[in-house]
Amino acid sequence: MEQKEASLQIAGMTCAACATKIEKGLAKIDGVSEANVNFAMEKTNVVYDPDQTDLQDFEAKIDKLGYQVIHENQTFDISGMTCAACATKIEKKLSKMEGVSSATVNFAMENVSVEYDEGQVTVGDMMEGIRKLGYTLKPQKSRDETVSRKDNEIRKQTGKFVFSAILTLPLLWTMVAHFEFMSFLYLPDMLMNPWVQLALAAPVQFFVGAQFYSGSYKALKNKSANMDVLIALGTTAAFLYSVFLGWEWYATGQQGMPELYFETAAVIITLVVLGKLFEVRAKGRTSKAIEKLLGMQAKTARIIRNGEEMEVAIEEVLVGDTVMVRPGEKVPVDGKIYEGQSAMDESMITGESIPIDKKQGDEVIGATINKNGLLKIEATKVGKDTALSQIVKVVEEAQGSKANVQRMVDKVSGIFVPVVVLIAITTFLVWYFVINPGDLRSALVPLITILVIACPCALGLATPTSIMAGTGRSAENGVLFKGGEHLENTRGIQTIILDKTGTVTKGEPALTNVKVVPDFNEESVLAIVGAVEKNSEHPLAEAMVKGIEEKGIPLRESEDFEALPGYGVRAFVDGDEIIIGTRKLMQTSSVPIGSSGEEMSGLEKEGKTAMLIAIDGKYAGMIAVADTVKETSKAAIQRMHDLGLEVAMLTGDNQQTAEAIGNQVGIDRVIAEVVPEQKAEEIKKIQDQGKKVAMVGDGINDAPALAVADIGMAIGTGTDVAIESADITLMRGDLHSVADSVQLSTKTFRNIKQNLFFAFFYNTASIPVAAAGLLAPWVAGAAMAFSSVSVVLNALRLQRLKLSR
Amino acid sequence: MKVKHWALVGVLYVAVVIGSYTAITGDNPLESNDMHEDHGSSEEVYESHEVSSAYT
Repeated sequence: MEQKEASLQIAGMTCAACATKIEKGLAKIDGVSEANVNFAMEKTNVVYDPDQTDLQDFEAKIDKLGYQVIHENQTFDISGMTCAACATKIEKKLSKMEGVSSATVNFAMENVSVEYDEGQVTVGDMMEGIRKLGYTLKPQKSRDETVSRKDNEIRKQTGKFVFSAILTLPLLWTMVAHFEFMSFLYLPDMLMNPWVQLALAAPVQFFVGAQFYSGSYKALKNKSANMDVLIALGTTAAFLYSVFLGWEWYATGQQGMPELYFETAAVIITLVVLGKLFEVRAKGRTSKAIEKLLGMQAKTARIIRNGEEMEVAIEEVLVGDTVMVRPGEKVPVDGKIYEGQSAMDESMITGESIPIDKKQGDEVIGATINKNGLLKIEATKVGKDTALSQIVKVVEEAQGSKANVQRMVDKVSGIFVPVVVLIAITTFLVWYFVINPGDLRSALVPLITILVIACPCALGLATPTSIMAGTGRSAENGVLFKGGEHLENTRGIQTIILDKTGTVTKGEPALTNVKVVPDFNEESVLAIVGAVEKNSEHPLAEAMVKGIEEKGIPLRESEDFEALPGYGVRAFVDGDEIIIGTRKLMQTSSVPIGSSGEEMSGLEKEGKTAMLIAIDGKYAGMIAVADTVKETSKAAIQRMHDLGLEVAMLTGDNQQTAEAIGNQVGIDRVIAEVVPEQKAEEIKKIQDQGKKVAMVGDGINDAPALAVADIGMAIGTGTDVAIESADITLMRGDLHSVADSVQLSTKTFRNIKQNLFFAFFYNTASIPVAAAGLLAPWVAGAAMAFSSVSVVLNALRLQRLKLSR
Repeated sequence: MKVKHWALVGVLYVAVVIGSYTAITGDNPLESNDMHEDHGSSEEVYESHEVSSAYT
């Protein structure tokens, strides 16, 4: 059965209970195997069988539950249309594209307005699809110019809060003046008048507080309860009781002034709106990482089409286009250099601050900065296929995913509201019938206070905000967690298994040893070896030439180069025959090597590849290349030890070579002579000892081992990284990222626990205090708002998290 | 609507309430009696109201 995954943006959720409700509703649809709603990101991910259901069903269901699915809107200018039939063709093509909910072409205006889901289709996809039909689409406005829905919402809520605060302030004045220690405060009689208080409180209750009523209505219609129900119940009880007291005061001849609760209702609503405002603003900041990633992208690209250089929007770059990147500019898309060389600053993708030299044939990543040379690149990946888009997708998915702890919290918050209402009613009855029989006032205050203080909104925010901030901070450090559960589970890892080649070592050979017999000069021998090897395309030859060049030795010229596969090479330099290769090649060429064979065996035992050199029939020395250990490996492994982790290394090399490298970097345990197929078995053996294992590999050859491990980490740089193949992708090519991921996981989980404590502490500890009548309702409102704000602010601390490097 | 517009609407509304109070009662909206004395009497009235409401 083919499974598909869809992601929808939802509006109208007010608390975690709404998210649970949507989740349950979607899960009930036939064909849906999994539905996850992230309250903080206002997003849902649905895994479904396309034969049984589709996006329309999900939208209808979400709509029925009282929420709305948000679509992106984009208007494109169309060129190439000649008649109304063209318009119909374009409209049909766009409408049929997956993720497009509607497309309306205006033939007269030569534009098309498309409503689409960004998770399924991009502007680039639409442009490409229409280009194939023979027309050109051009976005009318860039995404940045569009004022976001969230910004408008924040502005509206701020306005409502200001309005509410202005009306509540006089009411608050009456309350404050009632306190014994504030009795000196001037208080106009007018403010004590019940009708004045009613006039001030009513707009706050029914206009500003309308959102709580509509939220309650939606929840109750679907037989569930959320924080809106609690706020609406609590404040309405206070408001209506005050109206009753005011009417009674009026009916009994307006003697003295009754003790009213209008200010309680108004202060609670104002504070809750303020809390929500802080929450929305802070929530926006937790997803800053994504905005930061998207902001890295270049907005335009300079391309050469039909021999003409032109500047186009990044969305218009197609695969195969020639893109010019000047020094100091950002690379607009992923591509391959076909002309020029430069140092590239890839820190935004890999976290690595040192620029990397790139030359013709090398791949460059979109969003990286060309430091000094003019580059011409061929676009290989555009739109949603670029490395940056993939990273954004992974981070977004991770931020939207749920940690196991959240599933438990969701269950608790689902039953929390009905339980609180039950406790509040019981408290009211106990006060009214047992403690102060017949005293409605003393029974009503604990009821209102319990309803207000027990709002579970902080509970719903506790986990997702930490996960969002944690994954965002991780991405900034080049660590991509593929889901909340991985961020949660990595902290429990006990053993880290490192693949040797490309993980502990650089994965590319380098010149390590040069031994020259006394009759020859090392520099001149290396100049000759370089002259010969530079003609070879073998990776070992390239390593030798690079090593010789790095020593600053100028290479000479050679003639009649001949590669002898499996043996070595032969060429002539200044008339002398040069042979570089194996023992056998020396034997067949009748070059006596004396005792050098043993020395050669010694190097081979260290895992090095040694080659003998003969100049004009005389043995001149030997040269060895080997895969070298990354400079950072030793320090990174020490960091893992400091974190209390056992570090093992897995390799196909012989025991002696593996141990030599293991000792060099401080590995605790070396598992050698393991063929790739056996790697997964070796991991299982360690798991059988009851240990939680993380496997770190290059993500391609180690796929089975990565899958078997409790946590699979793929290490690589830039476009080489197989993001899909592991639970965690380490964009930075060094092992420090492994320790970083464990630290990030530990700290994020600690942050989640702190948040849950804040949320539960305020909610549960305050209920008995409120039930005892020891808490004023407005204090409950303030504490409730403060709990949400404190949870979000605590999560934001993760954005400043420093790693012990 | 801009935030400052919301603020303006709020201030105007409070002004209308004060104006209406003055127009209906004829009292000075800023007038204040001694809070302590007034408060004491309101407590008494309140208690009597409680008793009366308990019987209704």
